[in-house]
Amino acid sequence: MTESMYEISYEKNRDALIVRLPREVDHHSSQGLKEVTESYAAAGQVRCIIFDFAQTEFMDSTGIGILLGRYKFMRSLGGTIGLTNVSGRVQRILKIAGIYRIIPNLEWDVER
Amino acid sequence: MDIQEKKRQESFMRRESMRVELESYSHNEQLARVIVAAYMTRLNPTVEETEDVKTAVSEAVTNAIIHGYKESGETLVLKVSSFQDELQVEVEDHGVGIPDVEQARQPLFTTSTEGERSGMGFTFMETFMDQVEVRSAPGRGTLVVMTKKIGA
Repeated sequence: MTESMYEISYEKNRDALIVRLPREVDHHSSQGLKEVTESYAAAGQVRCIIFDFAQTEFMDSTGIGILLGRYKFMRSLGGTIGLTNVSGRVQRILKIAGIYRIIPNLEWDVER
Repeated sequence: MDIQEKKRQESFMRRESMRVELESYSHNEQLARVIVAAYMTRLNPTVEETEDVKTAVSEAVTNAIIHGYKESGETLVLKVSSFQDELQVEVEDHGVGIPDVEQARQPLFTTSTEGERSGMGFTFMETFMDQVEVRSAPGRGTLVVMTKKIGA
């Protein structure tokens, strides 16, 4: 894997923006995410943001704020967001926060 | 009884503590989690207990850094102590303080205007620790004291 475990990486795949989250999602590691996703959306043709948690072992409530914020943002553009490769600890955090009631967990793997 | 087990039992019978000062920069959120996780190994926690405490610490320290000090670099204090199977974590700042603690502890309450903070920080602290006490005064700062029995 070339990208850093400590930083977010972004990849445009057709009309989806794939956001690969770092090993630990907190207020520090997620800085810039809002601005970067908005600049991709402004450049056009992003109908869906897919958050890929494959590397993520830790997440605090910052992650919940990000998902809710990006969900509202994409809905305002007529789009949506999805989650993939969620495991263990992150799943527990998402369940406690009730995220699955509004945001779908995609079964398929994002092509790496 | 081997020496290690004897030492562990002696450690169990006395209150032990550590105290570290951190500058209120966001990269110290991770450092704070790692420090507390390393300290609590003496209590033989499960992986889940360690993750629970790390999450609560992350919430309290992030609050101190972004709300208490507005990331100014001023010093926050992280104190970790234990007695028998009880772990106690204190996070103290001398920043802006919270005008209404009751309100701040409500789920989804946030003062963030950018709409990217969930307002679930205190809820997560309460979910993952047994007890959370908050003392705060505007202009004086905030002290969060959290306790959790390990192996309960």
